[in-house]
Amino acid sequence: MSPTNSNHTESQRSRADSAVWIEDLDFSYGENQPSILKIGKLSILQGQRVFVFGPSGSGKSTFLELVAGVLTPKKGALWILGQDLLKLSASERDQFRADHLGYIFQSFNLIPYLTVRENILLALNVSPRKKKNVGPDVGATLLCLTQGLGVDQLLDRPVNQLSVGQQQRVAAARALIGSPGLILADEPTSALDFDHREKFIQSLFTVAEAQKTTILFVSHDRTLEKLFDFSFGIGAK
Amino acid sequence: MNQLGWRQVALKSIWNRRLTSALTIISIALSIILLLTVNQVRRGGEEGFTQAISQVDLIVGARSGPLNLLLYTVFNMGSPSNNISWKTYEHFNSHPSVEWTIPYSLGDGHRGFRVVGTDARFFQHYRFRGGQQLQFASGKYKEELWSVVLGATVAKKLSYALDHKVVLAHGATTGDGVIKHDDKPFQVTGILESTGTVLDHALYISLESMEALHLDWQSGAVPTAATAIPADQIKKEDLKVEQLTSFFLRTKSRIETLRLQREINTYQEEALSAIIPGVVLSELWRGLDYVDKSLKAISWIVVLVGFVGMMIALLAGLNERRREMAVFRALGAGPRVIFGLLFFESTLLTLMGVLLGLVIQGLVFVLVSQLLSIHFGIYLSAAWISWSEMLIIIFTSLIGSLMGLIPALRAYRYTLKDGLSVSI
Repeated sequence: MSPTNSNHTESQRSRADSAVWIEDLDFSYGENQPSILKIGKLSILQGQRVFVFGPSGSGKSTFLELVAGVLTPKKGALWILGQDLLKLSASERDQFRADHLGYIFQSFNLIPYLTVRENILLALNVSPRKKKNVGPDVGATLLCLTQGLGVDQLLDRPVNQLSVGQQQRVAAARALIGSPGLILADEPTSALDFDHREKFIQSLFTVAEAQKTTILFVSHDRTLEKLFDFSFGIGAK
Repeated sequence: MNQLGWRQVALKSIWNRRLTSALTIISIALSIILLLTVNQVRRGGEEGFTQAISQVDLIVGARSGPLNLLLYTVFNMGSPSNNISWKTYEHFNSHPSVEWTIPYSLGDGHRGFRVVGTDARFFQHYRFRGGQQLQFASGKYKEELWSVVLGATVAKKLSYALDHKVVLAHGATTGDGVIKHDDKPFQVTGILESTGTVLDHALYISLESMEALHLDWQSGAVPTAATAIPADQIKKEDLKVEQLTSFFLRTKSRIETLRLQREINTYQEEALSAIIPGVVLSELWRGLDYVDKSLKAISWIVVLVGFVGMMIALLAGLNERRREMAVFRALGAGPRVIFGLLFFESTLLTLMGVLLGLVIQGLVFVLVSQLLSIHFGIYLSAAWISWSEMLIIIFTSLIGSLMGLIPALRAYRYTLKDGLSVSI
């Protein structure tokens, strides 16, 4: 390699090693529409726990959907876990999400007509990779995971018998099963009362750390910021 | 382990909305039942109708329209315009081209059923539905005065058995007759097997009995005590049949039919009409075509309504399921999976509806076919499912699946639009 390319190779290595690597990203809905989200440069290392803050309507959800591969930017570079997301087709991005990502919504995470166990195992339904990571003894893995999150007693309960806090923990278990590289959490604690927020985040961290999973946690509640390794704001003008 | 495939997820989702799903299935089933039943009744009606008479080449009566002649002879509907003389009948009976004839006289009734005056040749030669002969369930026809043979429906409805005494009424009347021949009761000597045609709806007596009934009516007035002739004074040998209403005719060779028809229609001695029953029957059936067509149209519309109901149920449920779909999307399911879930659901509901309809219809079929045959003389052909029903089943399933495409496509579009953030 010629020296002039050293910068480039460094950038390559950085992209390959990062959980999230973004450069000059610009997103808008359709051509000639105003830009919704602009990110100059962002690099999140694997295993990091990152707090993303911003007022509502600032594009936090858009950011998560871009990272999840549901939306695509009109320009810029977007690498997730060493994969150039823009090189993938829509269905390849869906499969990538199934295999490498976990997602936690603000609320209503669970399918109401399935039990807790069925809800968690749904993640393996779409991902051969996660299924392989879980190994042959699904029950043991499931138990271990749910114990870590304190919902192991609820496995055969119907979802509607669970409290909101329990539901969010089950959602976390579903996001974490099969050791995905990156967890995206979209204000998962905003429906919880203050005492439960920290506890929820702590147990999420504990399990994620064991799996070396990166966490991208979006919230408008900056009191939680102190719990994370690293934080940045979106849309703060 | 308890891991579900998408099919089981869809099944659980349907079960979760079991009330709506059940109602959808039932409404589809009902519409299928209606469609199949209408089709079967139509099929049976056509067969029962066009097969009420066979192997009769010509029906001959006093001059009238062909339809009128057919209706009052074969279907016991309406009344003859005039009688024909016995002399004329004899002329054609012994015509060289004629193989056999059946005399057929009308005029009296019994509690709404026709009384037919005929003779042994009727039971011997009359054929229906392709060549079936009349069979006696019990007893037999006796060529003697005051004996009557009952059609199956007559016997069943009035619960008459052999040897029962029957009083005939003058003129074909519905309900009880106004003027009864109650001085001359008849005795049941035979009951016919059910044919599923109008033959079941009549009573059969000999021509002589019919003549004897009206012996004291020669002046045209109701006989008084003075003019009435007691039944026991009438002897068969003394009776001379002077006239009859009509007769059926079989030619020796079918080629003769048209020539003979022309000959009868232009007969100089008496004004006659001869018709070829098959021709007039199919003309008549074609005349009833609009009934058939509108029945068919209505039942197809009902089927459509059934499926529109399904579509509405699915579309209405779609909005509350957008959250669910966002979860599936977040888990990595592509829009095609979402489309598949909805399409699977509508197809399953359709198939279950069609299947349920088939099962119920099959059960009802036996019952209905008997009821129809007994009460209305509509004969449902033996096959429960014919080609036309198979086509209906395939076609309705297809319509159902196509209708299911609409909510499925809508869900697909929602999925693309909503992404992971549903705001409802």
